Amino acid sequence: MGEHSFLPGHRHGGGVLDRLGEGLLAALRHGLEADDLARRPGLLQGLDPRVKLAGALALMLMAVWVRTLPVLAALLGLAAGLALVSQVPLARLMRQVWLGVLAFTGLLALPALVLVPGRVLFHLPLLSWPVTLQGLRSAAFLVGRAETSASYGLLLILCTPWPHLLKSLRLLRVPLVLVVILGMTHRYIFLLLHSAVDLVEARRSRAVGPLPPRERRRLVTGAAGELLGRALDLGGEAHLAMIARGFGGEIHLLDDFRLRTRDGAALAGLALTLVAAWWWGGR
Amino acid sequence: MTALFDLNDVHYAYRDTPALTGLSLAVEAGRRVALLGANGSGKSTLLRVLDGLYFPDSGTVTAFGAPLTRQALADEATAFAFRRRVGYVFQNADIQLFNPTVFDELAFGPLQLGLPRAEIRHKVEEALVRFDLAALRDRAPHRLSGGEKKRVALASVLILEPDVLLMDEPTAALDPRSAGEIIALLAALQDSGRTVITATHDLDSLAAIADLAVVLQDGRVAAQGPVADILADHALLARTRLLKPHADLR
Amino acid sequence: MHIPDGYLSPATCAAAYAAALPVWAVALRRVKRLLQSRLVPLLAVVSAFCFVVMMFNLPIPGGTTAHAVGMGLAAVLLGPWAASLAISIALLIQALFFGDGGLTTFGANCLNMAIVGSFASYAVYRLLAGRAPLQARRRVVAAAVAGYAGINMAAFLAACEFGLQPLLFHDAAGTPLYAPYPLGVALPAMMLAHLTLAGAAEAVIAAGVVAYLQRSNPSLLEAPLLGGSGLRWGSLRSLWIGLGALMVCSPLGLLAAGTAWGEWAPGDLQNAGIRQQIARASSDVAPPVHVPAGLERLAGLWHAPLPDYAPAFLHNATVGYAVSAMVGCGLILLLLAALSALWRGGRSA
Repeated sequence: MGEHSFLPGHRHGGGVLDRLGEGLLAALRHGLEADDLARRPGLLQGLDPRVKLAGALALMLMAVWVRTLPVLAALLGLAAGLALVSQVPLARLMRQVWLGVLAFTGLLALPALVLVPGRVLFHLPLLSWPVTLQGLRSAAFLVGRAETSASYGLLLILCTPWPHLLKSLRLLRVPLVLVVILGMTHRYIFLLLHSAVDLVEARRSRAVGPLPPRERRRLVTGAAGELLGRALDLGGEAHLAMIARGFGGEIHLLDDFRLRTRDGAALAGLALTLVAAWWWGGR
Repeated sequence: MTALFDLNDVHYAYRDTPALTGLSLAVEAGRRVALLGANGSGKSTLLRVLDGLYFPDSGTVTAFGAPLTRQALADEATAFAFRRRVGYVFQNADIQLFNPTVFDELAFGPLQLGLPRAEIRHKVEEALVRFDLAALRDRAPHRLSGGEKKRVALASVLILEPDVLLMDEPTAALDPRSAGEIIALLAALQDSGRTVITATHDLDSLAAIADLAVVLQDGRVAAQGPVADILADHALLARTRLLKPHADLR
Repeated sequence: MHIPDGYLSPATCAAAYAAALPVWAVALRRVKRLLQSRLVPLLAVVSAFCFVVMMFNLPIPGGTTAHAVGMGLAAVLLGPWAASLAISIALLIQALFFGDGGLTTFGANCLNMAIVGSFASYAVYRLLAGRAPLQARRRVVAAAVAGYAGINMAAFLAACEFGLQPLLFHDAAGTPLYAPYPLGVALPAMMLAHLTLAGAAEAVIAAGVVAYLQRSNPSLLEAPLLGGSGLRWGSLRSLWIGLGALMVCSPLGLLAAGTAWGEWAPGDLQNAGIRQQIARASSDVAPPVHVPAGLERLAGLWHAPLPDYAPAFLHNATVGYAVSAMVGCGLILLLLAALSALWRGGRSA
């Protein structure tokens, strides 16, 4: 996985298998916890998924757009507040977003303090590199935007059951066929991850002692090749299973989303927030 | 009485590996048939031919009095009617369950068949209760146990109330208790008048789920008859690798 | 190089979405025409496969490990259109479910990795593999180069997206509002990381899987499983030209700008060895304690002529950027042409 993610930071090194197994477990755990949190009674949990999706995206976009730091901080504060009234502990937000983003983006932004030209605030002790106001502010923008957007992203996934979130993608005009494919992809990821762990384990168990790097490469890429064969078989079989139940290429989906009063109130609150952020954050 | 399915000298091969080699079989309506045979004897292939998923390389298949061919199923109305009447429970529940939640899984078939939305909702809720799945309504398939997956797979097919139920190894890879629950469910179907064709090599539960047994070997029918007669023919069972040589059936 | 939210301006993100959308639409239509009712299950399994491959920790030459995006592998096996879709779907699940890569930047991530990466990989593979027999060693090498070229094209694009941000988006006082480093810093930092670690990982997975399939399941290599590009070489060349044109246009604000400094994770930074590696890989933006003096000078050079991001400088930078993009593209094309000429010469000799 890449730079930030809701999953615990991974380590390089360690066995191929350990990493895959860890990845599978972390993915399973994240899904499980999200499932359980999404069922708790809370403000966000009670809203229509479409409202949550639209709201999260709008607030993320606003966090990326604003041009004043106090408004950006207020948006981050709003995310924390929403977490609190939705039974998402701040410790979880801290663990899954804030620390990881700070460690990655924060570190990446550090050189900007001295690299960005502008009004010199002070010099670093010993090195006498100038820290500029502009550098400091640009680092704050980068970290603040990344933190705020990722917080809304996490709230969205923690307070919305995944299948509902997928169905609400229709709101963004995502084609129905892609919504269904996304659901199946997510389902098969877990299946293939299990397969991958089995494959690597089976291959490794036949080897005696630690493998030389070349052999380890062959082991992993061989497992990937084998996995492709299995994935294609799975796809073919799943196709038959779909046909057997009347599938002919047409996609149908059942959802029972209904906007209620509280959704209207949430949308009004969202609109007010956006207008306020736009008003004060524009310059 | 005319046969529901009538297969005549059916051949089918995967690339170069023959699976069915001149198989002929007639199944009458309302019968409960067990397809017995060792691994690779052609049970699963036969079920897929019966379900119109595979089409024979040569030979003929008739279902409900009409030829079951690729051309026939290409017609939407025919396919619609056939899929509604015949349900197929795959051996691997992971393949059968491709939807994000149990609810969506049960709704898939009815949705494909274009039933009214309100009726679908009603049917799904009913099936959730009937198959004791209500607590698992919004569960993702990867969070179900083996037995639960099988129950969902069975429910997802039976919700369409098919006239014919095809099942591939319904108790394979289940622990004894889950297998017992599935067998009990299947035995309860007995009174529904449904035609049930089950591929299995589990001889212990045979009597509970079938009246007739068809023994397959190397892609053709080696013997058929009442379950009790077949079970008593130890020489046949040993020859078709369903029993260990000299094993005592008890 | 999953670009998180906040690194690219909304305008850049919108431009990236606008560039990706038509490709997605065409890809979906093409793949659907080919697969018909198999579209849903097959695209789902190959997307899941791409996702799982992204989780593999690959031992790469030099004794370390890295992750691959798998764009070369996907393009070679599935064909470029299906690879674009499958990687985009995998990236969306990563972004939405696992928070890996932003949602505002999703379009840019797909443009870089799923679309440009896949098509570049596919073009390179077809060019180098030619009509070599299925079992030929040449196919393995072609896959390796394809993966390497694909990820580096993607990284180059991402670096350009990053590098443009401070030029185009800053406040009145000169504060960069998004990714703060100009091209002179972003480009070498990104390219160093991807020409080494990430490039090697991409080459290893593509070559390794092709070699494995040659032994165990060669039929999967006969033709792209989910359709070729549908483009002849003549039009592939125009694809390159189109890409070049896109890059020339990008300084005009058409393109997104970006971020990823390679693939190291927070945990890595506590590890002294990896810290060193990062420092080596991205000589400048590494742990700040070690910012090398040379880099400082380089950065100084870059900033020297622009006291306040003056408009005049912006103009110059735009031209300079376009030139460097063109040179980069040209170099890659030349390298490919030379490689394929070498091969053809070697075969006829």
